Amino acid sequence: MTGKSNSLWTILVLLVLGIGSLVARHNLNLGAGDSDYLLTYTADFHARSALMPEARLMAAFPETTRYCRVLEQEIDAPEMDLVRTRVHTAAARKDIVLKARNPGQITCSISFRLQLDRKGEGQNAPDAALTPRERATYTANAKGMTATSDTARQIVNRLLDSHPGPHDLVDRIFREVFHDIVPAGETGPATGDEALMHQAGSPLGRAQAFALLCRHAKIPARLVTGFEIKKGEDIRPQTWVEVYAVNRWEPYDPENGFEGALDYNYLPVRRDGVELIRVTNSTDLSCSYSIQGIPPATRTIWGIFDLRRLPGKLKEPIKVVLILPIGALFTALVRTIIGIRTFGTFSPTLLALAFVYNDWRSGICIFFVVIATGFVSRSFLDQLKLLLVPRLGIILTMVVMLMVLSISVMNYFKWVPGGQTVLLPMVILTNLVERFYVTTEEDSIFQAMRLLINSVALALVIYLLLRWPDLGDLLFHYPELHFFTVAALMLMGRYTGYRLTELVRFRDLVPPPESHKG
Amino acid sequence: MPKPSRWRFWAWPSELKKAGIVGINRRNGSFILPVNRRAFYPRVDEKHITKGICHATGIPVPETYALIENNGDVKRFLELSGNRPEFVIKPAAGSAGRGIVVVAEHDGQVFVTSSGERHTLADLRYHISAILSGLYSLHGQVDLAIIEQRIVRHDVFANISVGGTPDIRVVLYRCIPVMAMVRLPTRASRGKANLHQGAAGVGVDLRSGRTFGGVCMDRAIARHPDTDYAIAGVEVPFWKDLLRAAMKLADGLDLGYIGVDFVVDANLGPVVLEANARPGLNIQVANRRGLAPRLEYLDSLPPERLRPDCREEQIERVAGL
Repeated sequence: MTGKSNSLWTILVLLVLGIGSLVARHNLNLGAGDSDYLLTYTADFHARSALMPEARLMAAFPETTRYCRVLEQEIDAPEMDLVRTRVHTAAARKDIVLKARNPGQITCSISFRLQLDRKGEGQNAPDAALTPRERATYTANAKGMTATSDTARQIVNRLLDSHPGPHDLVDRIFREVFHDIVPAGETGPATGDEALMHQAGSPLGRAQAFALLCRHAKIPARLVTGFEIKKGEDIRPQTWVEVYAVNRWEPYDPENGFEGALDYNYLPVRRDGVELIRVTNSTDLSCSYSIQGIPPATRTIWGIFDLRRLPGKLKEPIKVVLILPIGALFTALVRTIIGIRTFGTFSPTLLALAFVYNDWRSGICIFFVVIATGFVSRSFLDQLKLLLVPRLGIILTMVVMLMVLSISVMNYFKWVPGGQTVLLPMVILTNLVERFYVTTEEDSIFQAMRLLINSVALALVIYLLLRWPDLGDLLFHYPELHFFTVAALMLMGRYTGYRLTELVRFRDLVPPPESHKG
Repeated sequence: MPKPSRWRFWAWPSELKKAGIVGINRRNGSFILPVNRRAFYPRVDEKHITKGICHATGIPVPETYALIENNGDVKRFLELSGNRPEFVIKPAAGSAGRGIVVVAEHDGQVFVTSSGERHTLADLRYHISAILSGLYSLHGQVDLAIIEQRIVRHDVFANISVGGTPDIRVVLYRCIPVMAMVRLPTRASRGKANLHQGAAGVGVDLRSGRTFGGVCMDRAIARHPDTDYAIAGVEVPFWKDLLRAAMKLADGLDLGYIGVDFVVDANLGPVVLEANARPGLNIQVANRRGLAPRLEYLDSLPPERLRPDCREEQIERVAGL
């Protein structure tokens, strides 16, 4: 049986290929997002002397969150050397540290290639429990944030009147800051103390005021500085606050009104601080930031295998197309394992594909209207004695007209949600009408109806598969899973057991049990 | 003979396996694919090629009056076929009896079929055109229409067929007949001898050519559903000749798994109507027996035991399985 061993070998190869590419994908760590951005820091400063300690620059490294990953970084600093990429474990903070080779005016830029994923399929690293020391740090006074001030005490005491829980209290403080400290633009009071005093503040001032009040209430709070990722030159970093009310850090942004969660495109860069770039032994630091959208295709050749880099409008159709082989798999299952017959092998799959782009209920209605009317006209055409191809042409024309009429009727009575067009595959419908008619003539209307209902039922099941978003996403992320689809089809191709319908068809051929004979 | 058990709705796979029933998947995967070369399928899918092979090997077939190949000849089909009083129109690449019209009498304008339907000349011309355009062909491609001799039905089946001519299907594996049945037209099948259109199938003992048991619309029967005559115990005339012709055709076609359809003509004896490279499995129901033991037995034989001179012996053995 060479066919058998060849098939087994092929299946084995397919499985190896499938698993191999899954593993390779994992190791290549192919990206996970809809778009790439290039975040660039540019720093300009004067290094004072090359003596020890030499001038150093520390740049905060953007964090990896579930929405955003740093794919790579590039340092363009001809007059500087990389010292190290320093990781502060306590605050989960990373810095790039550069040192100047010579004194004098220095310009350097650091770029990060970021990949943003709106769905957030990565995972945030879980927050570690706060150590007593951290708790102390994040409830203490800090520059511009005097948590122990009288103003803070008055406000917090007022808010504490009905003994709220920690979350409630944070909410109250947030509302207090949000409503009672007026936004005063970038030039407004820039520290928490000043903002509280003037009842107005810059974005930073308001964030500090919020953190300060939390700290006064012994709820750990820290400033976070980062970016809202959107294209633009001369972007300003934004500062918001993270509060450790119960057992995890939750973001609050008085400036933009975010409570407990930020938009997916907020990228934290530095925690417990405001400056993203700091220098030592230098003067005249000026920093600027820009964010560019970049075409992801310019990455490595391996990116070809990563469909997620494709532009958004291509994604949905590709997901549907990727599920089609599952439709074929299902068709094979229904036909060779179950033994249900339909009109045409892949007609149900193609019908299902049409339903995906339409409202399926109106699709089904139109389907039956077209088949029924088409059938009646086909019976009429039979009397005219026309040859096959012209006759099919007439049926196609009628199918088109009926479909357009149905769409117009549905639109007139506003039966179609969202004004979608309902375009079913017309050539398939044409063949269906013809075959339906021929089957009623040659076998019976009963047989024709049975085949039609089987076809529609199979189409609906495949439609559900096509509409299953998790399946689409899975195949979109791991198209190599289709190696397994082919392997499964191959196994089915070698299946020589009974079809389920044959268990019924041949039931009379089973001899009665021995005991009944005697 | 096992008595059909009407109380059950299905059989377990293990029971079917034990009864030796071959399913479609097994027929295709284990028996047809290994022994039937795809390149030879046109020999059976196109009836005029089958007929040519029959002619070449001296197997009797209905005489071909005309082969209509293009629409220009459709108008003249009566003249081309020699103005015969009765004839059969069939698509060369038809399947399951589709598109066959049997004209029993006509006056040049009105044509009466064997089942009593009346057609005009225009109807028949249209029908032939439809055949040529591929309406009845296996895959819908352009086809030929064959106009051939109408078979004179042998009396032996007169009481147990309605509206058409019964035919005899013999399934051969590795050129040895493994099972046979007679297909009796019924009113429900509208004169067609196809089981799925409602004809009755009756098992035939390979050794004697005598009918036994029967099935109609997947249910066991003992009498013809329309005439109520017993369908068992009828002896197919010229049985040995029929089996020899079937084996000769199998040799000529070079296909390992085929079904050959015969009709018994009152004058000519058994003639080949067509052969089929994917014969249906209903023959098992008609015979109340599974094909598996017979096919497996033949598979177990070395090639020299399948030579023409050993075939009589093998038929005896197969029939006993």
